[in-house]
Amino acid sequence: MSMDRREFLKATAMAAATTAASRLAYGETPALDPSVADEVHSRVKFDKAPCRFCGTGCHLQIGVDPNTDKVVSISGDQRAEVNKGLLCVKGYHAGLALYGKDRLTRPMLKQGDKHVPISWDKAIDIIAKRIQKNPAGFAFYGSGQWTIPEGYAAQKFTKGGLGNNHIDPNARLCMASAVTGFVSTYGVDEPAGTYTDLDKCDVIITWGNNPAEMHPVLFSRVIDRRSRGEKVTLIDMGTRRTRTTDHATHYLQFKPQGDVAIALGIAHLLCKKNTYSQEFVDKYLNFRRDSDPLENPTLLGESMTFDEFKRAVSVYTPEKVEELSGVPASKIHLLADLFGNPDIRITSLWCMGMNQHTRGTDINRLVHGIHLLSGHFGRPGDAPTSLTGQPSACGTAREVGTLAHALPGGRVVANAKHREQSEDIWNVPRGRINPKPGYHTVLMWEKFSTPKEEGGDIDTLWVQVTNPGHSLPNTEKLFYPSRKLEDKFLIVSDVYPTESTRHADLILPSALWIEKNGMFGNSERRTQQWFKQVSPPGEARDDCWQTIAVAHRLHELGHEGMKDRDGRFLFEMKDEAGKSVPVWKWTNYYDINVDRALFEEYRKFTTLKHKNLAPYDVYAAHRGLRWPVVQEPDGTWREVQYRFAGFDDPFVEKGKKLDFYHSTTNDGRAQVWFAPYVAPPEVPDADYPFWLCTGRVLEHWHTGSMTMRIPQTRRAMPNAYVEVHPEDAAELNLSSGEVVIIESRRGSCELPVWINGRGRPPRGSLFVPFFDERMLINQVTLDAHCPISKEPDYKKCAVKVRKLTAKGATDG
Amino acid sequence: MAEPQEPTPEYRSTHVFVGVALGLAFLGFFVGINQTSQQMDGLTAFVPDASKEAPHESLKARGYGEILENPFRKNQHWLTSIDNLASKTTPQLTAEVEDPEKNKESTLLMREARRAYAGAPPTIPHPVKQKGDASCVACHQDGVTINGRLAPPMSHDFKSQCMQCHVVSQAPMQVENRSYLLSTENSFVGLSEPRDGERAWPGAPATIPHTLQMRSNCMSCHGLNGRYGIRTSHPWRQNCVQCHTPNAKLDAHPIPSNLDAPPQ
Repeated sequence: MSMDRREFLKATAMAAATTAASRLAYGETPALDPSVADEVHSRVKFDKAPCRFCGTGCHLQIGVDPNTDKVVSISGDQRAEVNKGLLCVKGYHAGLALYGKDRLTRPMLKQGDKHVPISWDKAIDIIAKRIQKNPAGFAFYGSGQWTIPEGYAAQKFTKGGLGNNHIDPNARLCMASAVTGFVSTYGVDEPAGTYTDLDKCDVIITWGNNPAEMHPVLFSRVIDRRSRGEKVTLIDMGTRRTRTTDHATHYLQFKPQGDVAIALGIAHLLCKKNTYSQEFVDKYLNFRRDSDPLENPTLLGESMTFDEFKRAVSVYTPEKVEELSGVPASKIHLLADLFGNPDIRITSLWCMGMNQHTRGTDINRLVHGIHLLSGHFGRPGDAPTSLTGQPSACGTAREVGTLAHALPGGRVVANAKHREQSEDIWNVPRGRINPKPGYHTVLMWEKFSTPKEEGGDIDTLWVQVTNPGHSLPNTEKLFYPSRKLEDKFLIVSDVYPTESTRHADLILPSALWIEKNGMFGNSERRTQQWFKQVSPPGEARDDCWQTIAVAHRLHELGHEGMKDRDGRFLFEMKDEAGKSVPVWKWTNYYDINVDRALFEEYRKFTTLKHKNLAPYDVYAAHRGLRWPVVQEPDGTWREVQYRFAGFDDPFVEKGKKLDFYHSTTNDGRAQVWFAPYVAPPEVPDADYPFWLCTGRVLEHWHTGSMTMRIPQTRRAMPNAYVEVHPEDAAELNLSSGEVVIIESRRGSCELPVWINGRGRPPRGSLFVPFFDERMLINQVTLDAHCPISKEPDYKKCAVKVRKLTAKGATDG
Repeated sequence: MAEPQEPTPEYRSTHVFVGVALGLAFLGFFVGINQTSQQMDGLTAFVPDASKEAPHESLKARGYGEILENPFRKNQHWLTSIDNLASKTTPQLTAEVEDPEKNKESTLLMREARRAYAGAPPTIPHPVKQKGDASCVACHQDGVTINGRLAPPMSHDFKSQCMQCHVVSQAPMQVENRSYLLSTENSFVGLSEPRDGERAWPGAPATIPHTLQMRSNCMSCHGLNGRYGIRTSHPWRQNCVQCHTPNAKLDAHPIPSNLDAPPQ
């Protein structure tokens, strides 16, 4: 068979054209022109950045083609300790999130029903003038996706500039119960253990958690140990079967809210069988409860003796727990026997299942409690580990303290000394910081949704890096009402059109991820840094610049709060020569590294609670470091893997094995809490017979504004659905793919049914992922929240399922 | 007139047996066609139109109720001989390799169609179970080729969660008539597959033009099950990196950069 060169070229060209055409037809991602492929390979520049999505904090190596100023490739960073070179499908495709066709590229003002482009100068001016008119009516709604410097700038602007504490992050919807759990147990926020525990534990317990989909890299880190011949017992406790269950040694299915009963049952059996750690009880623990857990629960509670604790938990016998949780008594014994065995290492993992809970603080306290009581704490592999859903829920929301009651570095506005310390670091006059906590998330949106004459005293609300129109619970109450009120002005900074921008009065286009400098703090106290690697599209600009520009415009308008003690601008920054740089002008913003300047100032806040951070340049040279980071005599910086543990934590008193040096009882002891089982506020009944749980899927992250624009993840999971048990489906005569109406007392949502799909809910239970902006399940969910953390419960409410008739009408 | 013959006991039991068997079959048929989608697996549940098959993809399973409309028939993968299948799955190391450069460009383009950029985890071109068990390894552990359909072996070390990185290229379910509010266009242009490794002189062994990260098993793509164009011309040589050196830029250890080693 012979083929001449001409024919061969023709055939190759045809094959190429056919493949290219079929690729277009199937919506594949185009690749570069093959003729220049090798040339491009040789010029691609790689640099590190933490992933933009969840709180795991994987490091990526991002390949940028300097000729086009665009991302062309991504790989897992092999030298990153978190992920050791592995990513998940979102991480591998994170670069594509920058290039959706509908990126926001110009500021836009709502006029009538339309958004019309305006200049940045005008946009900044509009915001500043509204704030100038009524500074107390301004609220900042931020995010656990704010970079550390962005959150710090917003925090300083609101609390140090406006003297107004109405700043809260979406992390209130995700992490608040974890925070109150940590604070009331250890006196200080954030986990003691790290991901290293995942390499060391013998038993891993997932509490209402599906890390196989939500934190896949961490789940692989622990479960891949089995393929290396190690024994890892996975106990999956959940309200539905998930991909995590498929790897589980034991699956314990509990009724919604049953987790509280299970934890109490374990505590009871530890006491009853005398398998608790006497050493811990004698040396490291105090016992605590709320005097009035139902009507007036508090963060600090009152003390109780160990005997009182034993009596309190004695009600929760395995049989009683079985009745409350649905988990067989034998399995409660199984759990208690594991905790009662001091020779094994146990790590608990949880995320939204325990946090988005009307008893969120209680269940967090109880899980810490059983780890402490049994002595499964402070050794590698023994840890209660709370995972975060956002890349900087820890770094920004919790550590910078962009919460209505907090100041940076674990301080609170209600504490006069904390206010003075903050005023000194910010160099603002004494008394600038308002001692009264601002509105937390749910209250902030309630006030914004209520007419002024009825007490709705928030009239200008600025949203950065989040999508509340989609992610707030009960949006019919918390989001939409303000959109019909004349004097309420909603500003949204975002990268893509979302449910929030659609309803905004002013839209600001933002730079995304590696289009700007940034720093994140992940779930294991690891502070990470990256440099800007590509330019943002059009007129999109950094959120941090937007805040500083508004601050400066207010300064020009004569707002006193934008001046420090010496009359200088609040965000004055100098270059190396000591010359002031007008960073509020976009053209000058990158003349210096603003992130570095803000971070070095913020760093001064971090020593009070022993969350010491290293200088910015040290982070630039690392794939993140876990705080406290302390300087060694030789000048190097050392991170700490095990907080409160004498063998690792330099702040533990010399000679002590464990020292809870921020103890709320000032005696170096942690608090083990008793909290009673309390039924959920809404349970299924004859009218609304189903439980509804909401959550995420592997392919999409939160409201999907980024991952739904990545072809690979969107094609794999193109829309939301409702998981129904096959027998429930048979009873209602539903089949897969059929669209039904899910309705609660608050609202409704149309969704296709998926039977025997990704997850398998038990009878009487439904699951809906919340990523799809066309199927807003948060019009259905409940805004009831934990009385201490104020975090709403997205995981359980009562709904009914209605069939759509053939005509499309409903048949009730 | 002959007496009507009494059925012998054997004859009667045969009757009964046939009757029962027919009855069961009849019952089974109607139970089958009455099977509802509630009992079907998530894998097959969301096929809005079974006739819409992606090219080169396997056929979707169908319910009993659909068999009348869409009967089983031969497809391009239909093979009757087990021997025929088996011989294709075990290529001989010593077999002569015919024109290893054949179809190279179209092979590379096909690879690119399955990934966002060179080095990205390929998407899965066939339906999969939604569960998290490692059923993928049945074919992808050692790799298999059946009648031209290639299931490549894993190019990397065994990992327990395949679908952490590999997702389906076509969703198992899609709600029709519900258009996106957001734009589904994306202007990302990924790094293409490298074409050639560097050679010191014509005929010298090429350096490896891609990183070895997640691609430590050369035989996954370059073995005898690999596609034409990138498969080896000398399968009897098993130690690839003896002659083909890793890419200095991509796989030099430690990577030259301003970054220090990870903390111990």
